[in-house]
Amino acid sequence: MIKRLPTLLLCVALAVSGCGSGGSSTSGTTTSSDTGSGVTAPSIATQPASLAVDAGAAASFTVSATGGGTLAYQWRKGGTAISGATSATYSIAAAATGDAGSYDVVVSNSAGSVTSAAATLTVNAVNAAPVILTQPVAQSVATGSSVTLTVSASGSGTLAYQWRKGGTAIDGATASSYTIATVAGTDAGTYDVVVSNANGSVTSTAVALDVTTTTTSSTGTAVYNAATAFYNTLSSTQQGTVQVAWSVDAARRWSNLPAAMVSRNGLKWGNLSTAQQTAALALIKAALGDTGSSLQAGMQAADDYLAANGGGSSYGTGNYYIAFVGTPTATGFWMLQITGHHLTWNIALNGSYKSPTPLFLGIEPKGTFTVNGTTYDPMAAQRTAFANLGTALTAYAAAKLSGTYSDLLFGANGSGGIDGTCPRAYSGVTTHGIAYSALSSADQALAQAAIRAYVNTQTTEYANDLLGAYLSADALAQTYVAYAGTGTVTANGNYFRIEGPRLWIEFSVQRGVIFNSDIHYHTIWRDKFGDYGGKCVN
Amino acid sequence: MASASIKRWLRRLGASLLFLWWAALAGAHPMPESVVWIDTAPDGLRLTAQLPLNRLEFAFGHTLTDHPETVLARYRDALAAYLLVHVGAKSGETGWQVLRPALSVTGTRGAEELQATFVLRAPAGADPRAPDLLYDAITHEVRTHRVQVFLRTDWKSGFLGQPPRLIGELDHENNALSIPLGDESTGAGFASLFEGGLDHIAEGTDHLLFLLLLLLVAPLAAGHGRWNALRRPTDTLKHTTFVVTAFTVGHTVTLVLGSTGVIAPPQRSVEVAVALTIAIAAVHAWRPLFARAETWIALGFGSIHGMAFSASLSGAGLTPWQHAQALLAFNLGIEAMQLMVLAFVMPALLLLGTARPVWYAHARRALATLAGLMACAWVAQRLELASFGDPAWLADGGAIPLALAALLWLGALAASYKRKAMAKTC
Repeated sequence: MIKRLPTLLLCVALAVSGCGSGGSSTSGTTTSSDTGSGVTAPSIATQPASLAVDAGAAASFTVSATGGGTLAYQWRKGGTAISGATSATYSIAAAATGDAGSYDVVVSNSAGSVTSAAATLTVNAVNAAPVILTQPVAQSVATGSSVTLTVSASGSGTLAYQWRKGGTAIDGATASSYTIATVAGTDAGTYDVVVSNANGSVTSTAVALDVTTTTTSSTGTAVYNAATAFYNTLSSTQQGTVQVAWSVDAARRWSNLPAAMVSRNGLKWGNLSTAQQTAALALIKAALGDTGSSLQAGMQAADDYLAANGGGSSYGTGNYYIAFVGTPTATGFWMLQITGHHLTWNIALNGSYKSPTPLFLGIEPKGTFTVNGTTYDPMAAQRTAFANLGTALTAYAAAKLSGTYSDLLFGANGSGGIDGTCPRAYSGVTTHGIAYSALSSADQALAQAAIRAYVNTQTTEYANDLLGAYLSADALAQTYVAYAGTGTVTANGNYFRIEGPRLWIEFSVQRGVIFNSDIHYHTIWRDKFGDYGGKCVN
Repeated sequence: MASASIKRWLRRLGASLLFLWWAALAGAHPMPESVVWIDTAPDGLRLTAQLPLNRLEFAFGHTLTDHPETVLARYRDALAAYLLVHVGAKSGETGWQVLRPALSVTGTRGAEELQATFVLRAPAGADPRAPDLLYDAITHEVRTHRVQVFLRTDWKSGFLGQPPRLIGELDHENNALSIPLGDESTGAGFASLFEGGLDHIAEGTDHLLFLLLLLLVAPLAAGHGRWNALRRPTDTLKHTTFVVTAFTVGHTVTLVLGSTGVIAPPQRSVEVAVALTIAIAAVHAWRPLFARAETWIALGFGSIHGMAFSASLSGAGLTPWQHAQALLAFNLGIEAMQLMVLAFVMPALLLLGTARPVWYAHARRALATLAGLMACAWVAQRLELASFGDPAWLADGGAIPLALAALLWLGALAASYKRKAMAKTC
């Protein structure tokens, strides 16, 4: 018996460890729970009926439902709640063509809810010839990259499109956008599009496509040389890891989450020797210049600060990665990717052409911090620019977006946690805020400052090229500025966006993760045509 | 056969990825997405939605993240009313009835979620097997929010005991999703869980190893703190029956309790406990620790292994009758595979034990040492004290148990051949 005692104790211990309610990593703790009530849930007695009206006429839907207690109604169009439509009947005083669609109503009480059948509202419109809503934009691109011209138009029935170059129809170019996958010098010219339907047609503004073949730059070669020097410090295993075969899918493998959660391409900073890090820093300096490389250093320091203040080993300088996507070359296409928690550079090089987007830039802590005796504020330029712009925008009602943007709309957190959707469906974004042209000249300067805060992270010659494109009169005529929330850079849920024909910058203010009583930033700069070296366009 | 095993392997890989994803979610950096789990019920769906409070608060209009522990005390009715307007289903044009959800607040600090469990009923005349989910909680307001929708169980098409299947994503632009339910077939749920039970043992290297250790000492009688001679075959059979039955009773009880939610042991502790049972069984195989109490130990250890089984079998969405069938099917699958192992290994053990008791003792110690080492590795890995980089031999579905059984047979055949040869020469 005595002999068996240890065994029995062990069994008891096991049973306890098996049944105990120790911390579970998956289910968490249930703090409280709910139970149902005794009222009958509603059901629909008479469904709303479909109807067809002429434009301008009144339309109304009615539902009748049974159920206990007080019944609440919420009418919806296409599944989206209609503000204020909360009684058994929903009426439209004068139906417009935009009111056509599928309507239903959710009837609820304290016990449950039921959705009615959908009723269709058909609005018979006066036949209309096409109207152009957004004109195509003049563009300037380098040979070898890709370019897309887009028009948006409205009109009854099916719209037909025909793109033309110098007035001559382009074979097969019959959609609302026209893409040249690889631009050649001969593609330069004037383009327009004829939009037609059964009732008539309209021709767009003719716009120029400039093809630049003469940009001279030494940076491509310098980056290639620095990349080669770095590559030569690596062991053959490391060389295999740093080199990733080019594909858009490989290029998209980055995230705004720490590398411990979403794995990255290439070599981990923390696994490089001092000599290798020195060579990597030289490469970063060659690719990004002074502003960009000091931003890189500040961002890595910010992650060190998180690691030291409760973030732990998932954070810190060592968790940054460096990769060559495609084989480095002085004259052809390849991409340098430097990525870690809150900073990802996608520097695409193609001889003398360079494209630095998408650039993800985020930070926690939001302001100044000190690591190893050095004080940093890496995102001061971007934060200040958007703080100033935000204050100005609150004076413009048209600048405010409805809804809440709790993170970036086009961040990297797509399916699988990577830059999931490529190309981005910018056309799906239908709310744009206020036109740049509608801002006062002082406020226009603030918008330009915000754009410069991102573009100037690049070496001067490329920054100037891109600013030339983003701030041209044509581009600014189609640039919009928007905000959601309260217009400050200090409140959770605030959001800003600047979009032009090429440019896309988002700035999101959200609750901190390590310092969760404070806020932190996620921001992104995309180029609708230049992302991943222009290889990610419709 | 090969494709089936690859499929199973992929399924396990999927399950572990899903687990890693959840583990990551519970870590310091939350993934602020909503998740909806769908279980089918005979007259509709059971839907479990997990909504991160830090996104829900924007749509609900009141701050929730300041005091997650008092969210339900403050807003229980208002949250239920909010959700009822934003969750629904239809088949064709007929809308379903949604019952007021049961609410709870779960999750780790800084990443709390509202969990809402809904019953969705197809009205008479509507097809409960062809639902469109209508869902825009949070997404009607938050333009950057996404909802991942998973099918978790569907008894009628036999989709059970498997990692949930992602069937789509919803966001501000997309607030309806067709739920593809597989074809109904009679007995599909039962067959799927029976197969699940078979797989669970066949691929569970740890369970197999434990079983092997139990069988290894079953033919032996203990005395004076050591394993002595072989029992008589009838005694061996009787003893083995007792031990295996006790193990079965033990795991059946906890499987029932676990899958009905009566007990909810944390999965990691269970995994560690399972590894510890193997370590103890290994010591016992070397030197008898509890020779007279083997049946009781098998009962106790069985109950621990049962808790591990119950993780694979959620009763969500099942009627009591289906749940009873599910338990029976899963358990029968486990039993069937255990008996197959028994039938395969026991003759080899008896052959070896009769022909070459000394070889048997060597084999027993060698196996005990190997199993003990593996168990220690599991314990260390499952407590995250060490990482072995998930080598195949340590993972589920490894070839180790099969190789060991094959070696036993080789030894047994060699022993009996040599004995016959010796008998001839003498």
